[in-house]
Amino acid sequence: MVQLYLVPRWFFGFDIAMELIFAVVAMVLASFAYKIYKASEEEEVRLFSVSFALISVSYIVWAAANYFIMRTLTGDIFELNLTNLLSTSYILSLLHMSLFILGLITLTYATLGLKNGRIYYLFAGLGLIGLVSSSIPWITYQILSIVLIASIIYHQTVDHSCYKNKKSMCISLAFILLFLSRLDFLFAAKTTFAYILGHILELSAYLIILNSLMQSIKGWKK
Amino acid sequence: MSKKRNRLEVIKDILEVIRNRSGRIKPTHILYKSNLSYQMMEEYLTELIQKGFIQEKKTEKSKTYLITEKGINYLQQYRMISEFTTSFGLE
Repeated sequence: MVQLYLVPRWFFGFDIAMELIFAVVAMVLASFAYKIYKASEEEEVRLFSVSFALISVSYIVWAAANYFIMRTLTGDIFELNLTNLLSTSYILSLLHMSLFILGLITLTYATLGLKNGRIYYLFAGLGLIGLVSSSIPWITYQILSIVLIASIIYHQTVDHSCYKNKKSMCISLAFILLFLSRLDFLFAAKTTFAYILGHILELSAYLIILNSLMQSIKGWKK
Repeated sequence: MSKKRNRLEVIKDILEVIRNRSGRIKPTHILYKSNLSYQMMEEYLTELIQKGFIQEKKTEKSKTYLITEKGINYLQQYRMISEFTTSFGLE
Protein backbone atom coordinates (compact mmCIF):
# COMPACT_ATOMS: atom_id res chain seq x y z
CA MET A 1 0.00 0.00 0.00
CA VAL A 2 1.48 3.37 -1.03
CA GLN A 3 0.57 5.91 1.60
CA LEU A 4 0.68 9.62 0.83
CA TYR A 5 -0.68 11.65 3.76
CA LEU A 6 -3.39 11.84 6.41
CA VAL A 7 -5.86 14.72 6.31
CA PRO A 8 -8.53 15.57 8.91
CA ARG A 9 -11.93 16.06 7.27
CA TRP A 10 -12.43 19.58 8.71
CA PHE A 11 -9.16 20.72 7.07
CA PHE A 12 -10.25 19.75 3.56
CA GLY A 13 -11.18 22.97 1.81
CA PHE A 14 -8.72 25.02 3.88
CA ASP A 15 -5.84 23.08 2.36
CA ILE A 16 -7.19 23.63 -1.16
CA ALA A 17 -7.60 27.37 -0.47
CA MET A 18 -4.01 27.57 0.84
CA GLU A 19 -2.65 25.65 -2.16
CA LEU A 20 -4.41 28.13 -4.46
CA ILE A 21 -2.84 31.02 -2.51
CA PHE A 22 0.61 29.40 -2.97
CA ALA A 23 -0.15 29.10 -6.69
CA VAL A 24 -1.15 32.77 -7.00
CA VAL A 25 1.93 34.04 -5.11
CA ALA A 26 4.24 31.80 -7.14
CA MET A 27 2.63 33.02 -10.39
CA VAL A 28 2.92 36.70 -9.32
CA LEU A 29 6.61 36.08 -8.60
CA ALA A 30 7.07 34.30 -11.95
CA SER A 31 5.39 37.18 -13.82
CA PHE A 32 7.49 39.78 -12.04
CA ALA A 33 10.68 37.81 -12.72
CA TYR A 34 9.69 37.66 -16.40
CA LYS A 35 9.37 41.46 -16.42
CA ILE A 36 12.88 41.70 -14.92
CA TYR A 37 14.11 39.24 -17.56
CA LYS A 38 12.69 41.36 -20.39
CA ALA A 39 14.61 44.38 -19.05
CA SER A 40 17.86 42.59 -18.21
CA GLU A 41 18.02 39.64 -20.66
CA GLU A 42 19.64 37.64 -17.84
CA GLU A 43 19.26 33.89 -18.41
CA GLU A 44 19.18 33.13 -14.66
CA VAL A 45 16.18 35.43 -14.24
CA ARG A 46 14.34 33.72 -17.13
CA LEU A 47 14.94 30.33 -15.50
CA PHE A 48 13.82 31.73 -12.15
CA SER A 49 10.57 32.83 -13.81
CA VAL A 50 10.08 29.41 -15.43
CA SER A 51 10.76 27.66 -12.11
CA PHE A 52 8.09 29.60 -10.22
CA ALA A 53 5.62 29.15 -13.09
CA LEU A 54 6.16 25.37 -12.79
CA ILE A 55 5.78 25.55 -9.00
CA SER A 56 2.58 27.58 -9.42
CA VAL A 57 1.06 25.02 -11.83
CA SER A 58 2.12 22.22 -9.45
CA TYR A 59 0.08 23.81 -6.63
CA ILE A 60 -2.97 24.15 -8.90
CA VAL A 61 -2.66 20.44 -9.77
CA TRP A 62 -2.30 19.58 -6.06
CA ALA A 63 -5.44 21.59 -5.25
CA ALA A 64 -7.27 19.76 -8.07
CA ALA A 65 -6.10 16.37 -6.72
CA ASN A 66 -7.32 17.26 -3.22
CA TYR A 67 -10.62 18.52 -4.64
CA PHE A 68 -11.21 15.16 -6.38
CA ILE A 69 -10.40 13.35 -3.14
CA MET A 70 -12.70 15.60 -1.09
CA ARG A 71 -15.62 14.80 -3.39
CA THR A 72 -14.95 11.08 -3.25
CA LEU A 73 -14.12 10.07 0.31
CA THR A 74 -16.08 10.06 3.56
CA GLY A 75 -15.11 9.79 7.24
CA ASP A 76 -13.38 12.07 9.74
CA ILE A 77 -9.80 11.34 8.68
CA PHE A 78 -8.72 10.50 5.16
CA GLU A 79 -5.88 8.09 4.61
CA LEU A 80 -4.60 8.73 1.14
CA ASN A 81 -3.14 5.59 -0.41
CA LEU A 82 -3.20 3.72 -3.67
CA THR A 83 -6.01 1.42 -2.61
CA ASN A 84 -8.49 4.12 -1.66
CA LEU A 85 -7.53 6.82 -4.11
CA LEU A 86 -9.14 7.25 -7.44
CA SER A 87 -6.55 6.79 -10.15
CA THR A 88 -7.26 10.36 -11.34
CA SER A 89 -6.33 11.78 -7.95
CA TYR A 90 -3.22 9.65 -7.71
CA ILE A 91 -2.06 10.68 -11.18
CA LEU A 92 -2.75 14.32 -10.30
CA SER A 93 -0.74 13.93 -7.07
CA LEU A 94 2.16 12.43 -9.01
CA LEU A 95 1.91 15.23 -11.58
CA HIS A 96 1.97 17.81 -8.78
CA MET A 97 5.09 16.23 -7.27
CA SER A 98 6.83 16.00 -10.65
CA LEU A 99 6.10 19.63 -11.55
CA PHE A 100 7.22 20.86 -8.13
CA ILE A 101 10.50 18.92 -8.29
CA LEU A 102 11.13 20.14 -11.84
CA GLY A 103 10.45 23.70 -10.64
CA LEU A 104 12.89 23.31 -7.73
CA ILE A 105 15.57 21.78 -9.97
CA THR A 106 15.18 24.73 -12.38
CA LEU A 107 15.37 27.16 -9.45
CA THR A 108 18.49 25.48 -8.04
CA TYR A 109 20.11 25.52 -11.49
CA ALA A 110 19.34 29.24 -11.85
CA THR A 111 20.43 30.11 -8.30
CA LEU A 112 23.73 28.28 -8.59
CA GLY A 113 24.39 30.08 -11.89
CA LEU A 114 25.19 26.87 -13.77
CA LYS A 115 25.63 27.36 -17.51
CA ASN A 116 25.62 23.81 -18.82
CA GLY A 117 22.26 22.62 -20.17
CA ARG A 118 23.36 18.97 -19.99
CA ILE A 119 23.76 19.25 -16.21
CA TYR A 120 20.20 20.58 -16.03
CA TYR A 121 18.76 17.71 -18.07
CA LEU A 122 20.75 15.21 -16.02
CA PHE A 123 19.40 16.61 -12.72
CA ALA A 124 15.86 16.87 -14.09
CA GLY A 125 15.99 13.30 -15.44
CA LEU A 126 17.40 11.85 -12.22
CA GLY A 127 14.88 13.73 -10.07
CA LEU A 128 11.84 12.73 -12.11
CA ILE A 129 12.88 9.09 -12.62
CA GLY A 130 13.65 8.79 -8.90
CA LEU A 131 10.25 10.21 -8.03
CA VAL A 132 8.11 8.26 -10.49
CA SER A 133 9.84 4.92 -9.86
CA SER A 134 9.75 5.24 -6.06
CA SER A 135 7.52 2.87 -4.09
CA ILE A 136 6.93 5.73 -1.62
CA PRO A 137 6.69 8.78 -3.93
CA TRP A 138 5.47 11.18 -1.21
CA ILE A 139 8.55 10.55 0.94
CA THR A 140 10.91 10.65 -2.08
CA TYR A 141 9.26 13.91 -3.14
CA GLN A 142 9.81 15.50 0.28
CA ILE A 143 13.43 14.28 0.53
CA LEU A 144 14.25 15.65 -2.95
CA SER A 145 12.57 18.96 -2.02
CA ILE A 146 14.53 19.15 1.25
CA VAL A 147 17.88 18.60 -0.52
CA LEU A 148 17.12 21.14 -3.27
CA ILE A 149 15.76 23.81 -0.91
CA ALA A 150 18.75 23.28 1.42
CA SER A 151 21.15 23.96 -1.46
CA ILE A 152 19.24 27.15 -2.34
CA ILE A 153 19.34 28.31 1.30
CA TYR A 154 23.07 27.60 1.49
CA HIS A 155 23.71 29.66 -1.65
CA GLN A 156 21.49 32.50 -0.39
CA THR A 157 23.23 32.52 3.00
CA VAL A 158 26.63 32.80 1.33
CA ASP A 159 25.24 35.58 -0.88
CA HIS A 160 23.69 37.38 2.08
CA SER A 161 27.01 37.39 3.91
CA CYS A 162 28.34 39.34 0.90
CA TYR A 163 25.47 41.80 0.42
CA LYS A 164 23.95 42.19 3.94
CA ASN A 165 20.61 43.03 2.30
CA LYS A 166 17.44 43.01 4.45
CA LYS A 167 15.27 41.74 1.60
CA SER A 168 17.57 38.84 0.81
CA MET A 169 17.43 37.94 4.52
CA CYS A 170 13.59 37.84 4.32
CA ILE A 171 13.74 35.65 1.22
CA SER A 172 16.19 33.31 2.97
CA LEU A 173 13.79 33.13 5.93
CA ALA A 174 10.95 32.23 3.52
CA PHE A 175 13.04 29.41 2.05
CA ILE A 176 13.92 28.18 5.57
CA LEU A 177 10.16 27.99 6.30
CA LEU A 178 9.64 26.07 3.04
CA PHE A 179 12.46 23.74 4.12
CA LEU A 180 10.79 23.18 7.52
CA SER A 181 7.41 22.56 5.88
CA ARG A 182 8.95 19.86 3.67
CA LEU A 183 10.64 18.32 6.71
CA ASP A 184 7.28 18.34 8.49
CA PHE A 185 5.43 16.84 5.48
CA LEU A 186 7.67 13.76 5.86
CA PHE A 187 5.50 12.83 8.85
CA ALA A 188 2.18 13.57 7.14
CA ALA A 189 1.57 9.86 6.59
CA LYS A 190 1.76 9.30 10.37
CA THR A 191 -0.19 12.22 11.81
CA THR A 192 -2.80 14.70 10.53
CA PHE A 193 -1.09 17.48 12.50
CA ALA A 194 1.96 17.32 10.20
CA TYR A 195 -0.20 17.98 7.12
CA ILE A 196 -1.82 21.02 8.78
CA LEU A 197 1.47 22.41 10.14
CA GLY A 198 3.15 21.90 6.75
CA HIS A 199 0.49 24.02 5.09
CA ILE A 200 0.78 26.76 7.73
CA LEU A 201 4.59 26.90 7.38
CA GLU A 202 4.30 27.04 3.61
CA LEU A 203 1.67 29.78 3.81
CA SER A 204 3.97 31.83 6.08
CA ALA A 205 6.81 31.41 3.57
CA TYR A 206 4.73 32.59 0.61
CA LEU A 207 3.31 35.54 2.58
CA ILE A 208 6.88 36.66 3.41
CA ILE A 209 7.84 36.38 -0.29
CA LEU A 210 4.72 38.30 -1.33
CA ASN A 211 5.34 41.00 1.29
CA SER A 212 8.98 41.43 0.19
CA LEU A 213 7.89 41.69 -3.42
CA MET A 214 5.16 44.24 -2.63
CA GLN A 215 7.59 46.34 -0.55
CA SER A 216 10.05 46.31 -3.44
CA ILE A 217 7.41 47.29 -6.01
CA LYS A 218 6.23 50.16 -3.74
CA GLY A 219 9.83 51.33 -3.32
CA TRP A 220 10.52 51.32 -7.06
CA LYS A 221 7.33 53.23 -7.87
CA LYS A 222 8.28 56.11 -5.49
CA MET B 1 37.58 49.73 0.55
CA SER B 2 35.07 49.57 -2.28
CA LYS B 3 33.56 46.14 -2.95
CA LYS B 4 34.15 44.31 -6.20
CA ARG B 5 31.60 45.22 -8.90
CA ASN B 6 29.27 42.44 -9.95
CA ARG B 7 28.39 41.68 -13.58
CA LEU B 8 25.18 43.74 -13.60
CA GLU B 9 27.02 46.77 -12.21
CA VAL B 10 29.70 46.49 -14.89
CA ILE B 11 27.01 46.37 -17.59
CA LYS B 12 25.35 49.44 -16.05
CA ASP B 13 28.70 51.30 -15.94
CA ILE B 14 29.45 50.56 -19.61
CA LEU B 15 25.97 51.63 -20.71
CA GLU B 16 26.22 54.82 -18.62
CA VAL B 17 29.57 55.66 -20.19
CA ILE B 18 28.03 55.32 -23.66
CA ARG B 19 24.88 57.27 -22.75
CA ASN B 20 26.90 60.08 -21.16
CA ARG B 21 28.83 60.46 -24.43
CA SER B 22 25.66 61.35 -26.33
CA GLY B 23 24.95 57.67 -26.97
CA ARG B 24 28.00 57.04 -29.20
CA ILE B 25 31.51 56.16 -28.08
CA LYS B 26 34.83 54.66 -29.24
CA PRO B 27 36.09 51.44 -27.57
CA THR B 28 39.15 53.21 -26.15
CA HIS B 29 36.90 55.55 -24.19
CA ILE B 30 34.91 52.62 -22.84
CA LEU B 31 38.15 50.95 -21.79
CA TYR B 32 39.32 54.08 -20.04
CA LYS B 33 36.03 54.90 -18.29
CA SER B 34 34.82 51.41 -17.39
CA ASN B 35 38.01 50.35 -15.60
CA LEU B 36 38.19 46.92 -17.26
CA SER B 37 40.92 44.95 -18.98
CA TYR B 38 40.76 44.91 -22.80
CA GLN B 39 39.73 41.24 -22.86
CA MET B 40 36.98 41.73 -20.27
CA MET B 41 35.69 44.79 -22.11
CA GLU B 42 35.52 42.81 -25.38
CA GLU B 43 33.54 40.04 -23.63
CA TYR B 44 31.10 42.52 -22.14
CA LEU B 45 30.65 44.38 -25.44
CA THR B 46 29.92 41.10 -27.26
CA GLU B 47 27.33 40.23 -24.59
CA LEU B 48 25.74 43.68 -24.79
CA ILE B 49 25.48 43.45 -28.58
CA GLN B 50 23.88 39.98 -28.30
CA LYS B 51 21.38 41.30 -25.77
CA GLY B 52 20.56 44.25 -28.03
CA PHE B 53 21.68 46.87 -25.50
CA ILE B 54 24.26 48.42 -27.85
CA GLN B 55 25.05 48.47 -31.57
CA GLU B 56 28.45 48.40 -33.21
CA LYS B 57 29.10 50.79 -36.11
CA LYS B 58 32.20 50.10 -38.16
CA THR B 59 33.78 52.46 -40.66
CA GLU B 60 37.09 52.10 -42.51
CA LYS B 61 38.87 54.20 -39.91
CA SER B 62 37.14 53.48 -36.65
CA LYS B 63 34.63 51.53 -34.65
CA THR B 64 31.99 53.11 -32.41
CA TYR B 65 29.28 51.81 -30.11
CA LEU B 66 25.76 53.20 -29.80
CA ILE B 67 23.33 52.65 -26.97
CA THR B 68 19.92 51.32 -28.04
CA GLU B 69 16.43 51.92 -26.63
CA LYS B 70 16.74 48.58 -24.82
CA GLY B 71 20.04 49.67 -23.26
CA ILE B 72 18.46 52.90 -22.02
CA ASN B 73 15.57 50.87 -20.59
CA TYR B 74 18.11 48.69 -18.73
CA LEU B 75 19.61 51.79 -17.11
CA GLN B 76 16.15 53.04 -16.10
CA GLN B 77 15.22 49.67 -14.58
CA TYR B 78 18.68 48.95 -13.13
CA ARG B 79 17.77 49.48 -9.46
CA MET B 80 14.82 47.09 -9.76
CA ILE B 81 16.90 44.48 -11.61
CA SER B 82 19.76 44.70 -9.14
CA GLU B 83 17.52 44.53 -6.06
CA PHE B 84 15.57 41.57 -7.43
CA THR B 85 18.61 39.52 -8.40
CA THR B 86 20.33 40.28 -5.08
CA SER B 87 17.23 39.42 -3.03
CA PHE B 88 16.81 36.05 -4.70
CA GLY B 89 20.51 35.19 -4.86
CA LEU B 90 20.64 35.24 -8.66
CA GLU B 91 24.10 36.80 -8.93
